[in-house]
Amino acid sequence: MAILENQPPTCYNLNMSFFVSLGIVFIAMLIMACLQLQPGVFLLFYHYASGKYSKSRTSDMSIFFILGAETAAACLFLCSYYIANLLFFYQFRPETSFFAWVLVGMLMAMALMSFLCYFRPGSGTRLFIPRKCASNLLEHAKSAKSRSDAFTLGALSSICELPFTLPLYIITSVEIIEMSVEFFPSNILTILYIVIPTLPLFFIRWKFQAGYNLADIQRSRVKDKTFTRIILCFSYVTIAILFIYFRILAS
Amino acid sequence: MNYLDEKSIIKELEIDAKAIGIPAGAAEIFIKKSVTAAKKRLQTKKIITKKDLNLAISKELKKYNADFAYVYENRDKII
Repeated sequence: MAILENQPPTCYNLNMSFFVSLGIVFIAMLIMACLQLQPGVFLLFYHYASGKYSKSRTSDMSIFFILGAETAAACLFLCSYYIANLLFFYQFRPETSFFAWVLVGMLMAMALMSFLCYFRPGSGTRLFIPRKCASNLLEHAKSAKSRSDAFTLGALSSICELPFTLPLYIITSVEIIEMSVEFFPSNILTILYIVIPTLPLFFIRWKFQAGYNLADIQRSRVKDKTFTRIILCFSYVTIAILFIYFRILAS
Repeated sequence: MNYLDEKSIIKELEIDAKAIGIPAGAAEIFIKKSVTAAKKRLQTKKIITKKDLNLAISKELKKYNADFAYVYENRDKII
C-alpha cells in the first residue's frame, strides 16, 4: 500500500485529465469553426474580388485573407495565453476559481446569446454585431485590391469575432497549460487550434473554385441558421459543464 | 457612394454578374433592361429609399436570372 502511495499519479488519472483538456480544446475549435462572421466576410470578399479580378488573382488574394485570419488568431491566442497565466498563476488552482467562475459565466452568456440572438431576425444571415462594424467590413470587402488589403481584412474579421471567442481563447490556454504532459507536444495543438477554425474558409474557397457562386453558398448558410445556433449553444454549454466538473469542482 | 446614382448601380451590378458567372454580353442586357424597368416602376414615387430601389431592381433581375436577383437582394444580409 505504501509503495502505491509513493507512486506518481496513475495512468488512468493522467489520461482522464489529458482527454478532458483535449475534449475542451476540440469543442472550442468546433465553436470557432461554426462562427459565421469570418466566413461571411470571406464570402463577400471572394465574391467582389472575383467580380473585379481574374480567377488566379482572386485565389491568390483569398489565401492572404486566410493567412491574415490565422495570424490574428495566433496573436489573440498568445495574448490570451498571457492573460490565462496572469489569472491562474501558471496553473489552475483552487484560489483562482473566482476567475474560472467568471469564465464559466461568460460561456453560459455566450450559449444563451448564440441561441437567442446570434442571427438578427428576418431573412438572411445578418449577425448580432453593431451595424456600423458590419457595414465597415462590407465596404472593406468590396474595396480590397491587393494581398495586403486581403490580409488586413482577414485579421480584422478575426478581431471582430472576439466577443464570441475571447472566453474560448482563455479556456483553451488554461487547458493547454494543464496539458503540459511530456509525451504530448502542446505546440501542435496550438497550431491546430489556430488552423482548424479557418477550415470553413478553405471550404468556401474550394466551393467558389468548383463553380458555386455567392447565391448557392448563401442559400445553404440561410438553411443551416437554426442548426448553427443549436450547435453553438450546445457546445458552449458542454465546455462550461466540463470546465466546472473537471476543473473547478475537482480542484 | 450615392445609392441613387445610376452609373454606380450599373457598375456594382456588372461586378455581381461577373462574379456569378453570367457572360458579359448577357449581363449588359439584363442590367440595362432591369434598371430601365426599375426606373419606370419608381417614377410615380415621390420619395425613393434604398430599400425600394433594391426591391425594384431585384424584382426585375429575377425575370432573367434567379441567382443574380438573390445576390443583389441579399448582399446586405450576409454579415
